[in-house]
Amino acid sequence: MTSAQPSILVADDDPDIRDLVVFKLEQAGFAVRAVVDGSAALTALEDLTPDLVVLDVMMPGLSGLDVLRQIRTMDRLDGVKVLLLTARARDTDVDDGYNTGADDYVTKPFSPRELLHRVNSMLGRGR
Amino acid sequence: MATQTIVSPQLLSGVLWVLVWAAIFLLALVLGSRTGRLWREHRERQLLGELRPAMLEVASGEDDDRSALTQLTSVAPRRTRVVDRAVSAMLSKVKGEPARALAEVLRSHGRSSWALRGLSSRRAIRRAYAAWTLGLMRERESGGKIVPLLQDRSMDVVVAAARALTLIGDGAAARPVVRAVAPRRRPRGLPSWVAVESLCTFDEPVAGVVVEATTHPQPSVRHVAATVIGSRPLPQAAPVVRERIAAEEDPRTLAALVEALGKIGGSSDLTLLARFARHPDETVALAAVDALEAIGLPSSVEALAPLVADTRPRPSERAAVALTELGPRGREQLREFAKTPGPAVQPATYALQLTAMRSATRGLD
Repeated sequence: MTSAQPSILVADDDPDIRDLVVFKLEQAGFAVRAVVDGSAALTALEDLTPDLVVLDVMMPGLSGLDVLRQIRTMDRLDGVKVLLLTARARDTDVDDGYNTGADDYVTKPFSPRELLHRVNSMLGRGR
Repeated sequence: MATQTIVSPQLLSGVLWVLVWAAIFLLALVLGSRTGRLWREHRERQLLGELRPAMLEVASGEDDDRSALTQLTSVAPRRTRVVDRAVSAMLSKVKGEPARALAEVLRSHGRSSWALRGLSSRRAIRRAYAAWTLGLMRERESGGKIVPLLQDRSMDVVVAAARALTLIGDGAAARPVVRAVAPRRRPRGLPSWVAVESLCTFDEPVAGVVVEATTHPQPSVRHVAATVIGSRPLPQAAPVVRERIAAEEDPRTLAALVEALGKIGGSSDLTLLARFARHPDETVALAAVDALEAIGLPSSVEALAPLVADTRPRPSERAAVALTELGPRGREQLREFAKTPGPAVQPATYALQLTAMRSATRGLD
């Protein structure tokens, strides 16, 4: 990932969603790396400081919220934005996400265009 | 006297040969069908791999010149089944323009008429899949044809129909969904949580149907209505909720009504909710504590504070934790409780420790 392109880490165990998010963000000019679960996301974050992390909440093993908690305890990842992309759409789920430290929350099924708008807005980027 | 059985060697040999050939035939059959299946799967993977970029282009809304869409709609007829399965899987994950484009792929392969025929199939799995496919295609005009399946004898079909209607999102299906809710402890009918999901997703008109359902003779239906009022939420239902709270006898429904009032009520409801926080049924009491927190006004502190001294551990702890969420005044009140001997010491100490732990995890003060 070069410093010219904002970098994004995507963690989702659903290959359709993962491929779709990667495709959409790459088309928009982001440098994207994708992983299949929470543990892989934490491993990737050991040697990567992305501008944004897109996390699925329900993943096998470590959930997205677990990963988010870990991210928020790491000084090195202090300014990293986190967007939760999840099927859990109840008010309490959304509250949990924000209370854990998420910067934004998108529910599935989702509009890839809306996702891109949110990502651009979080990274302060016009399209 | 011993009996001697004589089998002719020719017969024995013949039987053995038959057995050997039968074994070889069965082995060949198993291997053949397995190889065939593996080959088919390989071909399907190959085909889907070839079409994957087109699928992603359509699903991401990047197919401005519609060339990817044309690629998906023009696959050979014998391949449409495989493609449609993958398109359906993707369709359940996206909404907006990409969903409309993916539905166009299914329509071009004749899935719409296939699904409409399937609604009256004798096989439950076919009926369920047909309803789900129509739901995925989000065709409003199909809603009326799916509705009768809410009364199907198979619960799988009922659930698939409700979820299909949820995807279509037409509020006109609200009344049939309410009618399909299963009575408690009955295996047939629509499970409450699926009904809640549907009624929370439908567009208007839903409010009138939900408010009407708060007086339904079946407690399971009243419970669904109360949950929807709080979750959707429906602020216009507040007067009805206040009225129903006074009359409701089913504890689960009462708890849901109380919780709903927390989401749609205001300062005038604090006294009523504080009274319900002392309710002998703990589920109702806990719901009232949550509601007081949800209202989230400064005056909620005064309503919650006396509940920390409740002799029941769960309501008192929940009230104490709720106070930590109500700003500095709530936490100050807890510190007072923690140093004044009495029943409030333990829940107050617990809540303050919990807040300290959470703050440490979040890296806050």
